[in-house]
Amino acid sequence: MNTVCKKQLAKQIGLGCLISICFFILNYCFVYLVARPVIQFVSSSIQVLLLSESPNFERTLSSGNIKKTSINQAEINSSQIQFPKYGEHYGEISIPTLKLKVPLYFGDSESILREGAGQYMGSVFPGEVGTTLVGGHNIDSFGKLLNIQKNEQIDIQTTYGNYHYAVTAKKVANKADWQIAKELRQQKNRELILYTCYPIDSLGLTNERLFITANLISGPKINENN
Amino acid sequence: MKKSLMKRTAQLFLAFVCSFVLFVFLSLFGVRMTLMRSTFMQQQVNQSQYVSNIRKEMNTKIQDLARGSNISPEVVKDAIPYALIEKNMTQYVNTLYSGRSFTLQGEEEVKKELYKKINQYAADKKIKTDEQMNKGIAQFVDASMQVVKQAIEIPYLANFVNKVNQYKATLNTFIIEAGIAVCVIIGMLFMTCRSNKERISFTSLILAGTGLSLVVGPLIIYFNDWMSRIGIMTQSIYEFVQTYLRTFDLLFIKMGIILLVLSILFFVTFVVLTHKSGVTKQKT
Repeated sequence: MNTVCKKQLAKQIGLGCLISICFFILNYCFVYLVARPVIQFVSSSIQVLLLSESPNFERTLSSGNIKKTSINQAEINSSQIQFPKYGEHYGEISIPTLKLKVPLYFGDSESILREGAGQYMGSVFPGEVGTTLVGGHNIDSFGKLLNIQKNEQIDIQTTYGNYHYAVTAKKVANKADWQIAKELRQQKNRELILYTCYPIDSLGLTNERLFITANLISGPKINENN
Repeated sequence: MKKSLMKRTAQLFLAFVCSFVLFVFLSLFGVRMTLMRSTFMQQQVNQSQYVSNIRKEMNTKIQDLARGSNISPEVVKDAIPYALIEKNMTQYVNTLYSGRSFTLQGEEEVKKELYKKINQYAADKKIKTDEQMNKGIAQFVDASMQVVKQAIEIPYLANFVNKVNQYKATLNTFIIEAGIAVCVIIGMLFMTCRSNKERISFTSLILAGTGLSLVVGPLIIYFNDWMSRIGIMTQSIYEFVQTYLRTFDLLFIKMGIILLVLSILFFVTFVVLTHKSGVTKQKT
């Protein structure tokens, strides 16, 4: 192939590419003009469904040893506390008389209850005014709660303080019991309610729950105003 | 000179219109062959390993239910067999596209197996069952089957397929119309050409324009990474939707690449013919 032929070929290739690119640009412009409302609707809808990053399915709950505090002040300012996030292991519940010791998590989803006891997110943290509601499966350790007696001590060690409660009541009620719901809303005392499925030794799903109510005896009170 | 330029412009315009209509035709054809076919969905279910992912999730959920029912999770471990999910999944996809209602198959066998395992567990633990307890066990078994059903009936999928199927007839009409339009325009363009060489050069341009249009957009979407950021928090459904979208997107890229390769082949033929005619002219 001589130089003239090569030049002609290069020119033909260049021209072909240029025309193809023009066709491509014009095609997209046409499509955009015709389908603009649909394209805008679809792209804005997709933006709503997108996360800032890919979801991580490997995430596991933080378990193992947590840094429990040994400081026992009478009061702590809430601003000094780093409250746990959802699914965070932030404490331990122990009842010495029952030889019960379970990790305490923030949240009470199924995945949390697999690991230990879970605090209902709509309830207050130990030390705050109100009721702390904690649930656990009876097949694990919470089944032992059946043998708890009035005035027995329940200890909760958290990352910000150690709390001691005394049992005031033990009752079996429906899971949607209005009295428990009322206690959950109270804003006078620092209370704790532990619950599990009832009957303890029964198999199958049930609507009955065993509720253990306890009052705070000692532990740093959280000052919510500071 | 002026006449020749006008003719050339008209030919290029026809070539562009042909490229656009071909682009529309192939895009619609791509949609028809993917979103509206149960086989495509079935392939994506297999490719995304939906059955094994969902089996893992189902068994975890049933184990959670077992914990709440005072039954050791080990007892109901692997309660739902792989074959049952696979069979029902195929059945579900087929019923979606045929408009029939879905009923879970093999439900009774699974229920029987669950009852057997629980009764064995109760006997091992020396737990005496009474009427109340049997009711609770039945509730647990029903709840487990509900988990299976919910996992197989992928949320929003039925709605999506219904919506897509509504446009099937319209889409078919558009495909036929666009196909006819491509043939007519290309016929018109070829009639204005003096030689086969010219026809080949225009075919190469049309294919290149359409090929580029099919490749560039989907390629941007593919590498843009938005598909991996879809806000679905269930792993099995996330994997399925992602595979579904990626394969759909890849189909257009593949079609575009084929057209570009064809365009290059036509261009090479055109160059060879030009070179041959140049040599013949020189000889004569």
